[in-house]
This record gives sequence, C-alpha cells and structure tokens, in this order.
Amino acid sequence: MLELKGLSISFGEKLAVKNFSLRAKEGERVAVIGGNGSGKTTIALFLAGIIPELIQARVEGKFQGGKKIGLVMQNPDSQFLSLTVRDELQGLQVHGLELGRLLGRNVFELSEGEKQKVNLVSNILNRCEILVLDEPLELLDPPEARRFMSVIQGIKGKTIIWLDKSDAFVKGWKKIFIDGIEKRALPGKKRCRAGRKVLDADFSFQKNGFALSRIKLELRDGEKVAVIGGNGSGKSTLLKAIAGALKVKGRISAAKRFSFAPQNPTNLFFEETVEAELFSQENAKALGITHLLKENPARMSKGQQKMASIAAIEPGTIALLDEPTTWLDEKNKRAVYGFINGSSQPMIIATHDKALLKYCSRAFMLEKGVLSECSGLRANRFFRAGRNRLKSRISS
Amino acid sequence: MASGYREAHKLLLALVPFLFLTDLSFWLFLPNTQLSLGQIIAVSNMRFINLFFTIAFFTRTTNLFRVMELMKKARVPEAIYLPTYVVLRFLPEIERDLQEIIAIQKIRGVSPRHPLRYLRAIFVPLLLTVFERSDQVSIAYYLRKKREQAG
Repeated sequence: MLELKGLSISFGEKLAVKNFSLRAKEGERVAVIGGNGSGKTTIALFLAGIIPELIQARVEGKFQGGKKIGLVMQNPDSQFLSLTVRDELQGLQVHGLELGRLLGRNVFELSEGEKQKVNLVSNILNRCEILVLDEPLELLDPPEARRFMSVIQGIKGKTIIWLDKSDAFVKGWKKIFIDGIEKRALPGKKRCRAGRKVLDADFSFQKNGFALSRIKLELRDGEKVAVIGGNGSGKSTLLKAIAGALKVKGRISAAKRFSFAPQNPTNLFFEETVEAELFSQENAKALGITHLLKENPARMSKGQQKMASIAAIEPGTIALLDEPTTWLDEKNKRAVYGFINGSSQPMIIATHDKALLKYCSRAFMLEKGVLSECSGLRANRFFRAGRNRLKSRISS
Repeated sequence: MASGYREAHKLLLALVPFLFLTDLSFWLFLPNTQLSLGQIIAVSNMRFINLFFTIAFFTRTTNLFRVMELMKKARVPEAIYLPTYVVLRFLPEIERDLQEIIAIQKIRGVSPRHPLRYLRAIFVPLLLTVFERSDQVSIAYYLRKKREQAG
C-alpha cells in the first residue's frame, strides 16, 4: 500500500511539485502523466527516498509506503555498478525474461534497450516492493521500447509507478494526470518548394570498428529529410560527419553553413541565459518558449532545454536536428512539428518519432552503416517491429 | 605513422597551459629556492610530463575492465574496489562527452581564436554532463545499499 496526500516539494523559492496525491494498492499499476517541467522526476526521487535524504528540499504532505523501492531512470548508461550482467544481477536467477543470453556480457556492450532491461531486472531481483519507472523508454527506439514494455507486462505482484509524458504505452493502467494534457490538432502539411541544391555529400567514415560506407545525400533548399534507424546505428555520427566535425573520406560540398541541435541538449549551452544562446528571438516565438528566455539553461528541465536547443539553430543555415522530439511532451512536440513545417530552412532530421515523417519530403533508413532511401512502407515496418510479440505475450 | 606523430604533437600542445601552471605554482610555493629559473622549469615540467605520459600510456594500452576483473578476483575489499571502478568507468564516458561537445561547438562556430569563450563553451557543458552522470550513479548505489540494509 502506497499513499501520498497533498505532497508539495520546493527547492528554495522554486515550487517543483504542488499538491500531488497518489494511492496505489499492492500489485497495482499506476501511470503518472505530466508535461515538461511538471515535477515527474522530483516525484520519482521522493518516492525512492532520495529527496529528503540526499537532496535537500522542503517537503509537505503525508506519505506512507514501503521501504524497498526500485528506481529505473531515463539514461540507461549511468545506473550500472558492475562490469558484467551477471555481477549486476548479483548471481540471482532469471526466469522467462529473455536475459539468459546476456548474462556473461560486459554491460557497456549491450544495446540501450537491453541496458534498461538489465536495470529493471536487477531492481526486481533485489526484491523491491515498489518499482518506480521514470521515463524509462525515452532513449529507446520504437522496437526496443516495445520489447521493454513486454517485460513490464510480464511482471507480477509488484506495485509499479510509471512516470511519463504521454499515456501511449500504458493502456489499461490507472492514470493520474499532474496537469491536464492539452490535445491540439497536428499542424497540416505545408508543401515546400524545393529550390537550388544546397548540399551534395558522397563520403564514407570509419573509426574504431564503426563505419558509415558510401553515404550519398543530396539536399535542396527548403527541403526536409528524415533519417531513421535503431539505437546505435550511427544517426548522430552521420549528422556530425555531414556538418564537417569529423574527418571523412570523400566530398561534402555545401552552399550554406550548418547548425546543429544535439540529442543531449546539455552539451550545447554555456551562457547564463537562454536569450544569450539564441541567434534571434524569432525561433523562440515560433516555438512558444518566450517565457524561458531569462532562465538559466543549467537549471531547466530536460524538455525545456531541448526546446531551447531547437530554438538555438541559426536562421538561413542547413539545420541538422538530432532527435528533436525526445523529452518533449505532447504540447511541445506539436510546437516543434509546427516549427519544422513552417520553416523555410533545409533540414536533416534524425528521429524515432513516426509522426515527424509526415513533415518530411523524403525518408532515409540507416542500417549497418548504409544509408538508403526508404518508402513509407519500409519505414512503417521499422516503427511497427515488435508489436506482434507484445500482443502474444499479453494473451498468453 | 605520420598520424601518430600528429597526435603526439597535439597532445604536447594541449600540455602547454598545464606546464605553465605547474611552473607558476612551483615558483610560487618555493620562492627561496636556490635553483635558477631554467632548473625550476626543467624539474617541474619533467615531473608533470612523466606523470602525464605514464597515465596516458597506462590508459591507452590497458584494458581497464580487465584490471577491474582482476581486482575483483583478487578480492580487493569493496571500499577500494567500488570507488576505483566508478572513477575508471567514467573515463571513457567523459572522453566521449568531450569529443561530442567539441564537435557541437565546432559546428556552432565557436572557435579557439577566442580562447576564453572557447574554454567556457567546452568546460561548462562538460561539467554539467559529468555532474548529471555522477548524480545518477550515486542514486543507483544509494538505493542498492538501502535495499540491502532492509534485508
């Protein structure tokens, strides 16, 4: 039995969580859904007991719950304390979670989804009573996310608290909304008129056993191109190589300069306010983040940083967007779709987000270091992979 | 072979500010020394260069994970093993972050021609990412220990 009543958490002046209540019976699954900056991570850290003990904050409200709590965070990398999967699971036996073949491997060789699975299972095996999942799917590609979900669906007898931005993955769970989810219509597609050729790339890249071979890509002015592919297929490397940040064999001729919005927005900012980072305030207006202009990027939530990093692209350049919609809630996602749709800049967008393909004129698939133009059908197959498996698991 | 030389050259260039700092500190902390300026530079720099190249040689030629495995097999107590592991496992990640940040700032047009701005653009994001990672590791470790105590 887990019960929270009227929880408010504040760091100094800033109120992070306001009057939040939650009730979960033993073995019940509860999804807590809220937008960017609504305090999901703060709630997760409070449930895990981190907040009053390790991080100081002013807490008000009633709390009653178990002591053994497991926490799975967004970033799969930084939660390991051991070298091999066997050590991480502390020699405990795994049944029916398809982890048998991973046991002897080094944790850093695993794919992102496998890492998250190991994090989850090591929490379960440590006999936690309550499992708190803080946006665990955020960095996984769609097939990996589905596989991870199938493991979650198979867990029995644990209270699960799932904190996320949308309810797409938690059909049939008890839901608690922190703030109302605003559902606006997707912006309609604007036909872009392709102008002269601005980018002509034909190159290959090789480093430390990782290779991109014979990448051919042409881009015309005003055109938007999507690049899809699984975790670790090299989408970020491709974008950096195109922008000239890596040494490649071959030729890349561009008529314009590049600007880059990285996957991890923390890597971009170094000024004291968002305003100082931006080239012009037009982008901030288009994205609807003018209220963030005076804030310090280091103190914003991940989603807010992401919005600011997209606003920081320079007008009149070739924009390279690396996963522009991760960490964003529904409202901000739509603002980004609208921004991409309304912009006249040529763009190359690496993404896991299926809805974004609608606003691109062409899509490419990056697989095993080869970039090939792909039809809507093939893209669909990529996004649907793993779905059948999920169904079979639930029915059995 | 040529690229090896180029890399060594780059490493040496990167060393220059640190060498200058060690010289300065050596001179500041030992004002009454009998050594001449040339000797001070020679002594302090040799110390630093030795240290730097030993560490660089060690990390480039040794599989850190193999070292950790051996430590575990030799039953080194957890109080020594775990901090060593955390420090060592962060090195490759920090290197990767650094390369990523340098690439991003290069695309953005922040160039070494304005050294102060360039250093800020590299080190501020690097520190923030490292803090983020270390927070997560410490939370994971804390929770594990807490569960173990609960039984």
